[in-house]
Amino acid sequence: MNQTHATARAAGGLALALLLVLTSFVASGQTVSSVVFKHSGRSVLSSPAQISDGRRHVSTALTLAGRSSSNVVLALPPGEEDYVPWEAQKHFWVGAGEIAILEFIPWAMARWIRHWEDPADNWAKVSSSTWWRNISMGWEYDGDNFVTNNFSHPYHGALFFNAGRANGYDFWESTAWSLTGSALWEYFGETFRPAFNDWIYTGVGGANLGEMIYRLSTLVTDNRASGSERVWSEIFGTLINPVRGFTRLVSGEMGRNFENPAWRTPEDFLITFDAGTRVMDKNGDKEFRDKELEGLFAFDLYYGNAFKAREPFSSFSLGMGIASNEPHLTRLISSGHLLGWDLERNKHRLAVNLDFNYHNLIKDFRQGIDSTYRGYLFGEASIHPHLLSRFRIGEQTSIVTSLGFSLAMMAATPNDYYIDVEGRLYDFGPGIGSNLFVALRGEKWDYVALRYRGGWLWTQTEPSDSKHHIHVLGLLLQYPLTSFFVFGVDAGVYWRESSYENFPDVYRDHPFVRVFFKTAVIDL
Amino acid sequence: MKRSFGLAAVAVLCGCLVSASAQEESFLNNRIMVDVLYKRNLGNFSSVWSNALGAYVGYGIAFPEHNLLVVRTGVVSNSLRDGVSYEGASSTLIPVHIGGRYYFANATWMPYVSFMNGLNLVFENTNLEGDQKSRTLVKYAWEVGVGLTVNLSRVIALDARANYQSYFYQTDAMMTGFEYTLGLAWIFPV
Repeated sequence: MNQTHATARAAGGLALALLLVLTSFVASGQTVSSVVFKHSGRSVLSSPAQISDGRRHVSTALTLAGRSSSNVVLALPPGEEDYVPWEAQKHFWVGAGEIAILEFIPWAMARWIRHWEDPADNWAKVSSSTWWRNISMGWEYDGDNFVTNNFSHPYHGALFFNAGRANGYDFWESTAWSLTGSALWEYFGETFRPAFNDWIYTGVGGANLGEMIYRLSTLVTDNRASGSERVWSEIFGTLINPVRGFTRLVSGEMGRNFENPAWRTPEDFLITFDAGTRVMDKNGDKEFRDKELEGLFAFDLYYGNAFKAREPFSSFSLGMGIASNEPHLTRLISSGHLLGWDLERNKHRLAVNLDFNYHNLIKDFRQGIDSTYRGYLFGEASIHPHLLSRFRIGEQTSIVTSLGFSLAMMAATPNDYYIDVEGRLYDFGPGIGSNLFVALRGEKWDYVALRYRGGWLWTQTEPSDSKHHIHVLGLLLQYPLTSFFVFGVDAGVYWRESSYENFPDVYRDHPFVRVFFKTAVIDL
Repeated sequence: MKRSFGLAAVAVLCGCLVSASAQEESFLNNRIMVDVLYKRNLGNFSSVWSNALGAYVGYGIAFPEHNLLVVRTGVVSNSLRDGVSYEGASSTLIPVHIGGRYYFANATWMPYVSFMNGLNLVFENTNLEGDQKSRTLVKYAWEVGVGLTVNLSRVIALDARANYQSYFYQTDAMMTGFEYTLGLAWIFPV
């Protein structure tokens, strides 16, 4: 699969999201029993979620900006205590229909709407002969660039996942939905051979992202709210999770007053935002003469309590970094609880997480047989068994440790001698690795944190038989200026040893330093 | 002596069947499975190796209410296509797979969909380029399929399955094919 049709898929998803938002506006007015209009003279856009713990609900109180706008207040019917929520029962055919829509939109856009310079390039012109060829040839690794494989595909997979999740299926069953949706696309949705890396990134990465947006959209939507608060909560929920929004629309739950799920509000919830600068050596040649300085803005979200997590993703973390220089989306990481066993309650816990890592710091690259890039990248979808421990050393201070290993189902790291015609300049393959994390943690912040991630990757794609040993070592220091504001320094080094069967081995190391101010945006 | 053994075996089997059928429990229980297989290879790989025969032995762990976690191993031997003759050539796989089945029903007739994946240890001896070359490969295996389990009793089940397989081998010659299996399962009632 190439970048262009991934863009089409992303555009299709965006179009679906916009369509759903628009229809949610309309449908909200159509599905409730009465609609009351009132005028508001307020001209301030107040967006942060208002969090109350009375009934443990999060209400998004948004008021439309100025210009004598009209706020729509929905007078909802009284609570229906006997109502069985849509997501409490399985709705296979609705989910299957949503999968069909999610497959059809990007395919139809490529097939009939997009202009092709050479019609022969139209990958959407599938037929029984292309299907049989794909079945006969089987999996391969494609040449998509890093962003497409590590970001666009997981997003599309998250939509597939939620076709199951929003229709009554649990996390594990919905993972089968994302894997199946991806396999159907790979074999029958395009003329290219099915790409195994796409299947992993879409299916597993989609389950990872999908469960997070499912929980966040559930947190935002309040089934007990009414009026404009309800309208906006549904809009935000739909923007976060378009498929769940669509499902609530067709099931009529957008306009229904009923009980929220008991797990809706996590025990702990923290969103932080930080801004600062980062400097990194691009060449990795140990001479440190070619540094790149850039602004870096980061957003981190912590959901639930890892020591008390029971259900998949009842505890997870999600982080995103936006750089001022290209590539702008430089970091996207998450780790979600899958399974866990208490060895000693609230102190030692054996846990298995699903991790997703996306670090894109390729600052420029040249096409040729020499070194083809400067900077580094690393991506993976992995299973992460680990021992999580907490040692209290004060009333609100503790040392938290995590020691474990990683089983990477699919990982990506630079290849020094290969550039695919479609833009891929990295290797794929499975791998294993080790993880270590030690932090001195206060009530909210890590004052000091040391982290190490090591991994061995074996390339499965062309050029085959390369091996990569990668390491990331970092030390984070954060000094609280107030209870919600810290100054921090994050310094570390990424290094790798790459072995190639027919070319000289390559060693690179890239030290980096980041200085930032961080604030807690929402803290439950 | 032989007759005594036979009678004893029949008595034990009947006892198991009677005691098992007396319980009103789920058919979806842990089980040992033994299958024989025939595979029709596809694509470029099939231009040399046309089909395969083999057997699996596996163990299934039941999860309510529809799921069976399956681990299996076995041996699969590819056969050269008619008219293709390489002296001493052989291609044998030892699969080490894990996956699952989703059963649509919990009754005597239990249709299901299955997914298996894992590793294949590939032992091959080829002289396709003119010289004998033995090597061992470790390759990823991927399979989806549909099947039917027929519970002959609470203890014994018959199982038939059709799979599509896309085993990794070489980029231009993946071990793709349709596999058909027939087997027996020994069920452990809870």
